[in-house]
Amino acid sequence: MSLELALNTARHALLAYQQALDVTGHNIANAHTPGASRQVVRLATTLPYTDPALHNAIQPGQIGTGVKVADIRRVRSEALDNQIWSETSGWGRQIALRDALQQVEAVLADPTTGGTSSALRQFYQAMHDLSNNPASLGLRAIARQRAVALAASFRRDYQSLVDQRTQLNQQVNLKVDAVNDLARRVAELNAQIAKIKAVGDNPNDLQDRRDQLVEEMAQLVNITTWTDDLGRTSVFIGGVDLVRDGTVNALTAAPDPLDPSVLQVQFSRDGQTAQITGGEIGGLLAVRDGYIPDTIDRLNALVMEFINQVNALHRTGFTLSGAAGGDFFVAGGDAQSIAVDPAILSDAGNIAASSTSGAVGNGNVARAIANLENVRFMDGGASTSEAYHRTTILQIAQAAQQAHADATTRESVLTQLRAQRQRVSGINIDEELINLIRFQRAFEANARLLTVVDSMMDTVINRMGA
Amino acid sequence: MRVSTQGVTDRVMFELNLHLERLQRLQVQLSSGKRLTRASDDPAGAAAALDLRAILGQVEQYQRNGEDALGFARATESALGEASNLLRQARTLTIAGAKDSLGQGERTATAMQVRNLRDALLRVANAEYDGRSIFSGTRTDIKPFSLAGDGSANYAGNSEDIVRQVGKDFQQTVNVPGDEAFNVNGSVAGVADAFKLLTDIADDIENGNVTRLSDTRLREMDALLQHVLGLRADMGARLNTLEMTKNMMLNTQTNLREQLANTEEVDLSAVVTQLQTEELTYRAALAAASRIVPQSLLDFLR
Repeated sequence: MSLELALNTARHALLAYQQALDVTGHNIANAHTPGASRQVVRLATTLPYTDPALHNAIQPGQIGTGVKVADIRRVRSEALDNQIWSETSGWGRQIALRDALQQVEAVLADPTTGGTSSALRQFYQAMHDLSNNPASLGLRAIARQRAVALAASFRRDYQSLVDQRTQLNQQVNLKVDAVNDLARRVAELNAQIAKIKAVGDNPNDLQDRRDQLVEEMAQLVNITTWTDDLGRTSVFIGGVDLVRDGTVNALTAAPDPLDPSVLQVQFSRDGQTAQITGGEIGGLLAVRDGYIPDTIDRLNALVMEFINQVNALHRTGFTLSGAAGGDFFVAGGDAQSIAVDPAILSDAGNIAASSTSGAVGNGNVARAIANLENVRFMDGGASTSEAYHRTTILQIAQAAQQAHADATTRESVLTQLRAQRQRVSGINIDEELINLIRFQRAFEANARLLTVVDSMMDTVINRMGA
Repeated sequence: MRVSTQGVTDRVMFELNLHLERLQRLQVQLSSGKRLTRASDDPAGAAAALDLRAILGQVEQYQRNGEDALGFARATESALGEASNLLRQARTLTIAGAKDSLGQGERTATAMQVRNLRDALLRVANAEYDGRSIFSGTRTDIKPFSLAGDGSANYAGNSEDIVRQVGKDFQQTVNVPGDEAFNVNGSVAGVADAFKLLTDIADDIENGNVTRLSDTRLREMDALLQHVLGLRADMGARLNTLEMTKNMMLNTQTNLREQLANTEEVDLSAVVTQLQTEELTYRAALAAASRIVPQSLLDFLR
């Protein structure tokens, strides 16, 4: 036992508490850094000194030599992280769904005015008016105008839906790039983390940053993860590795062989299609490949059957000049190609309103066309044209509302989970301040020890000789 | 339980956002006056609104069809009324002309009056409503009647009805084709068309054919008059129905408008009350935040 031992103990302690203060300072500095978790210093006693005088009964066998920092760890729950990531994917999907569906909804109709519903109604009304006075050139011109407007409205709906699809395609492309960028950064961090872990250190901040990136990835796409002994987190989409340890199997958006107008998300390694169901990309794909094509199909079905019905009646009629009626609308197989027949466009007198040749006051055919508004010719005889179109809009609206409700629910679940994680990993400034004081006091006490030992040495060295 | 500093601010932000979002929605409702800005705000409500709007559109159209039908039917009814007045005058002249005591001068004058009545009847038969001939069936663009050399009618119209859709499953005929109205097609058995009959009566009066006048001609005239009066009564009944339908449609419209307002428009007093409540809770949340967020142990350490 010597004074040097005590001096050494004080030195160890000063170093340890200084380090503890450093960590506290780091925590306080990062109290509001997203993804940063609380770090704790684990203090441990140093190896005790064993007195060699084994047979001396007065002396104890071992003497403590002070304190050291055993390790600095981050406080984190992997299980919570996994839960948050999976919930984040679901939430990302719902917000992307909601936003995209609301755009589709806005394209199709304002609920109260405008849109194809009202164009359809105005066409039927114009035919009613025409049937009241079928010889009137003014009413014929109005009926033609309404028909032109209706055809334009159908075409606009179709075109807007196609445009939306293109736009979603571009968004998917951008988000795939974002996923790839995140994947590369995760892989780089994985490599660094493994190196540091290999020498027995804890790369706390690197892990925090990596986990934050994984969470951002989870918002974009559904992922599962696996963390190995060296702290490397591999990321999988549908069971296929996007990031394995330090390597990336990037995603590419390539034209779908079945439909080159849409991009298919594949893995670059072997061209395998990525099973994307969640995250924002999952939501975008669901709208792009599900809701929009369905809506286009419904629009096409309505337009085709509407043209059939109107033309069938119109062909039984006679024009103002007594000629047999031709087609009212020309069809081309989808909603994009509906147009008013050129004969009617050039002369509204060619609207065959009459059921008897030469009877200009006969509006029977115009009335029959107007009465199509109540004929259930859609859905196999279950819906009128207006009801069918209304259902098209409401299906989208309902899906949008559902997505909104789901997004809200998931957001509150996510808020709960994040709060739970904050409870574990979050930094509390009050707590850190207490630690600050604790470590400061410990540092002061040890400094005091140093002065005491110093004065003892002074006594021994300077005063005893005299 | 541990609570992190970030957790506190996150929670406060979340709550404040929630309140703000609700405040904003109420504000939009107040300023727009509409409960629904998007169908997805309330798909059930939007479905009802779209449905009501569609029905309202139809009812308004039926209403318009009804107005037009009323106009045409009234014109038909009054033309038939005029025609029956003319025939009644002709009947009086027939009786007057069937007297043995009349001198030739009086006969000629009476016959002239009957011929004038016939020409007046021709004008009535060619009457128009809004530029459309009333008695030409659906060939509304032509003058249907002209006189042939023997005083009978040449009818150029057709026998079609003019029909109006005045309700969902309700059509109303608003004309009487001229051939039927003036008996060109012989719908009154054994009686010539109205113009021929008047021509014949005038000739009989002029020629002093008293027996035929007081017997056959008078009977024929009565039959024709009955026929026209019957048509007029029928048209009158249709007018009644049309009026009733119109009033019914008006009522339906008012009801539909009210329902539509209930589904689409905001209840101002309710929204204002909600807004005030929401404002109050928002203020409370802000006050709570202002007390919690700045607090720290630092305030108490020297």
